Amino acid sequence: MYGATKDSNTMNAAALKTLMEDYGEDVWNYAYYLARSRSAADDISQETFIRAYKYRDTFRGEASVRTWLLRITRNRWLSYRSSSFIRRVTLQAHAGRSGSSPSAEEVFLQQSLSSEVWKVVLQLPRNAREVLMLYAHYGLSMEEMAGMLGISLSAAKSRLHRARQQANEYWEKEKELNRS
Amino acid sequence: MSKLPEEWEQQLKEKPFEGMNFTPQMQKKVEQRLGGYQPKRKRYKILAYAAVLLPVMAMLLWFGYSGLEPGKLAGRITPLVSEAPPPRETGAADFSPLPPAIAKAFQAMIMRLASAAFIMLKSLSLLLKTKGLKY
Repeated sequence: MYGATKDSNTMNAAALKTLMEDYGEDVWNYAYYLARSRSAADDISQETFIRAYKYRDTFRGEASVRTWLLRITRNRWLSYRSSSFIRRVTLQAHAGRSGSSPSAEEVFLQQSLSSEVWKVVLQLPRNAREVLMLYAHYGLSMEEMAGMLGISLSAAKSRLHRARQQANEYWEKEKELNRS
Repeated sequence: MSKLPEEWEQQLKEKPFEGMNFTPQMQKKVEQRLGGYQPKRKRYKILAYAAVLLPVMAMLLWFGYSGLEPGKLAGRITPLVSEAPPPRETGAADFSPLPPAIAKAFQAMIMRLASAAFIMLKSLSLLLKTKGLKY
């Protein structure tokens, strides 16, 4: 889709719309698994497409469009996280979590998660859930993953190995909980 | 729930959420925010300015310097210090290594070289500046 528009070095409104329809969910899901917040994922995914449109000339075709968009999503998330406003709000949100009733986020997860395995991934530390998602869900190669995360190939491999181990542990715990 | 690790990894290929989360409303918001967006062409703008301004500046410098005749300005104003007598009259040795005509020509050449070097440096710095620009 984007290939045709890339050739002429332009991305018109129709092409942007197609891009959002094709990759909107991928971008949103990745943003959600990074931020673990729906509102953050909404903002980050929108910002991602705005960035992609503005900086469309930077797409050199070395990676797939999806990988390029995921990279932008990650950068948007990093800047979202580093903003002091977000930090303050997050701290307040954590401090306010004293009640036993499930939060809107938890209700959303209970209703929308397609399988238990995604719940397990969501419980993992950020580094682990990110590599698992990129590798197992988006099917990125080790080289692509290392490039996106800004780490060496060996570091990416060891991170994935650790993530798998952690996911196994969490998966076993989840099984135990379900049995009991 | 008794899944092998390979199986749970296989499950990760499926979508994590049922339904759509990147809604058409969000798509519309993106389109609205990009509605009046025009890509900035700073690089080309600066290059266009440089292409016009640099030759003009060079010509101004060249003609400005050509218009200056040594001694012309000095003739209009009464000099505070009178010209020194030739060394032959005073008996002092003449240490001037070059004849006056050659010295003047040499000075003019130096001035032209300096202005050319200035223009070149200026254009180089402008070009470097534009290379580093992102839009």
